[in-house]
Amino acid sequence: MLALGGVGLSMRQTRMFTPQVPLQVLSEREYSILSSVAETILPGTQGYPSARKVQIAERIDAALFACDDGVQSEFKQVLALLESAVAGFVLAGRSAPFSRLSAAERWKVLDSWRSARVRLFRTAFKAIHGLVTASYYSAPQVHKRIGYPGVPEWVTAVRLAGVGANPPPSDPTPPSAEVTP
Amino acid sequence: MTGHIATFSDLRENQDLSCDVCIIGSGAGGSVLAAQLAARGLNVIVLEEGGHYGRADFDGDEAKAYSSLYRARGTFATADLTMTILQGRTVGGSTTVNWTSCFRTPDSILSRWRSQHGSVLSTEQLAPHWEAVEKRLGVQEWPEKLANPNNKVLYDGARSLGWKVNPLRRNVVGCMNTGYCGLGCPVDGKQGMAITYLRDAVSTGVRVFANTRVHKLRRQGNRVTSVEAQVLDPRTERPSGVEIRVQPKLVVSSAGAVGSSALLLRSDINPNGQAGKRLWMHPVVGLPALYPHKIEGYYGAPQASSCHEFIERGPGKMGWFLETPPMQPMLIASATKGVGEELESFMERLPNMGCVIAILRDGLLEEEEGATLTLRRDGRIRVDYAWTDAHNEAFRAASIAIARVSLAAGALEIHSGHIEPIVVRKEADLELFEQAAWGPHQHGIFTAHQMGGCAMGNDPETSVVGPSLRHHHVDNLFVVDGSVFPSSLGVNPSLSIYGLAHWASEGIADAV
Repeated sequence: MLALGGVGLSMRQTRMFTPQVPLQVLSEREYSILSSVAETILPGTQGYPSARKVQIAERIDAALFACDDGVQSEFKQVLALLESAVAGFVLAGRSAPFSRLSAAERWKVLDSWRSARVRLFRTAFKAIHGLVTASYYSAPQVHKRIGYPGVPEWVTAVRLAGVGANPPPSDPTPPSAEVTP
Repeated sequence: MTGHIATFSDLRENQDLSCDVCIIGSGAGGSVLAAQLAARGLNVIVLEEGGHYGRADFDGDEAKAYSSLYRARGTFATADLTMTILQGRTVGGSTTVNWTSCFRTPDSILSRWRSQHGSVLSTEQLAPHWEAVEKRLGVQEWPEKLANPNNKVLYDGARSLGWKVNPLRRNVVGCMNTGYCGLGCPVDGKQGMAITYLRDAVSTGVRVFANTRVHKLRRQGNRVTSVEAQVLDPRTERPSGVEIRVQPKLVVSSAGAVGSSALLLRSDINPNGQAGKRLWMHPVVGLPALYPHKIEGYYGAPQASSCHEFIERGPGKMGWFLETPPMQPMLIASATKGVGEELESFMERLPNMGCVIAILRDGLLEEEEGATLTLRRDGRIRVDYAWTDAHNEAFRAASIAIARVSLAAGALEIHSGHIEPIVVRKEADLELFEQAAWGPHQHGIFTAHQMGGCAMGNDPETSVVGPSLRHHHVDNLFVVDGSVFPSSLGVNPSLSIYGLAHWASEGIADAV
């Protein structure tokens, strides 16, 4: 099934996007497919920043950099399978690459993966969904929108001041066991 | 004599080292053991795969913390992705990122291990070791008056249902209730290994090598002759080309349930086929709930209370206990399967969101096999978990209990983690939970407690290490971490591992 993805990629044109930073793992085409996926999962409505603005695909590319070769190639295979018009035609009767579909059609494809009977698709959806949502909701621009104020300034001040209950490395004396919040 | 913690940038040349004891892993088992052995005058080397980070790095950025402090950059999971596996991978191991909950090993579990597996561990025998560790780590009860609103939900909800709920004991000194335990404590309130036992060990002369992954134990006959390790470049997590070889008198694997199992398999030390079998995961289901008032569960000690009302549920049933997680946005969003506007609408209610989790006590039922760890052809670790009907029944019963606790505490809505979330708004809606399918592939599941895989026991055919934690078939190899547990615990495991290592250090020192 993954071989179908490879064939499909070479046959039809992917809708291309331009990365905002140099890519480390993904090709520009894979980056573009991932951008279309991110845009589908995170439409950026209701005042949320867009996935492009938060540079989700760039963030995932950077995260993949230090992942195992096997993880990288499996992720690339999933993107290829999703984009593949041939696989899409065989599996769901669509004739265009994923990235060329309308937002509603793209969503239909992802939703069919999300609740697919075949485990491979559900698992693939989960892998993509996990990376995309984790990248997006760890971004400070998004925190503002959901009302998460982030790390309080006083915490950062204490952290950087280096004051705390613990002795420095040169003094291994056990600290006293008092809760002093 | 003062030791050191060397990291990637210090490790530019191959090294051939010798010592009395080489410990693999600097987590709950390895650090306590290193400090205890060094205090007895032994020459100890600790090899740690993860990097060395401290409060200067712990800035509360979730993306950065999960990618630098957790195994597989926070993406580790069972092969079918049904269960996310959160495991620390840094100096201090999981103790750097755990949520600080401390329990002594339950007496019922120890007695089961004695009667069914030939373990020699008892409450009486471990008590002095627990006491010593608790003193060093400042373990004490976290007062209810300091509990954050998410823990108040568990306190209030459980009590109004007549269920017993207790304050947790935590290994903290000068905790400022920031809420960022899972991302590395920004104020060094948490008494993790890196700032306690490992620090003691280093000041007594122990040499620690971070960013150093052991790929193989080399053997001659029934003895390990050398520990072969590669230095990893933390930017790429790939070998830098520098190799560290240690020739110790005695080797201790303290790499955790996942790491120790994998190391034995990589080293082809598996004569009875038991290494990597029967890992226990304490599978977790969590249900977010929305309240009319602010919860702000991303602040305040994330775990401060627990309810063990349903740990013993009678024959054939899997027990579980209730606790609470931190509520930082990345963790919460990635635990959902939501998309589009539905996910946007859900996440914007984060400040009013609480969450109670149920932790399943696996490994005590006859039919269970737990997780099996194997190596893929490219050497990557693969974990497969054998789910049973008992798990599904427990997930359902626990989810209903979570919903009842949340409703009793004033929740407006409780959301299940199904693809089409089931929403409970009142007692009558619980019927929807009764009717729903629960278990893997239905909703999100995660584990933060990995145990087993190198079970202790007196039968060399069915266990990996003996009652003293010495490997059945390799004379100078011990395993000292949660991997030796023959079942899960039904409580958070960190203190059980500290105590075990403190106890085992006596026998290991004598064995050198």
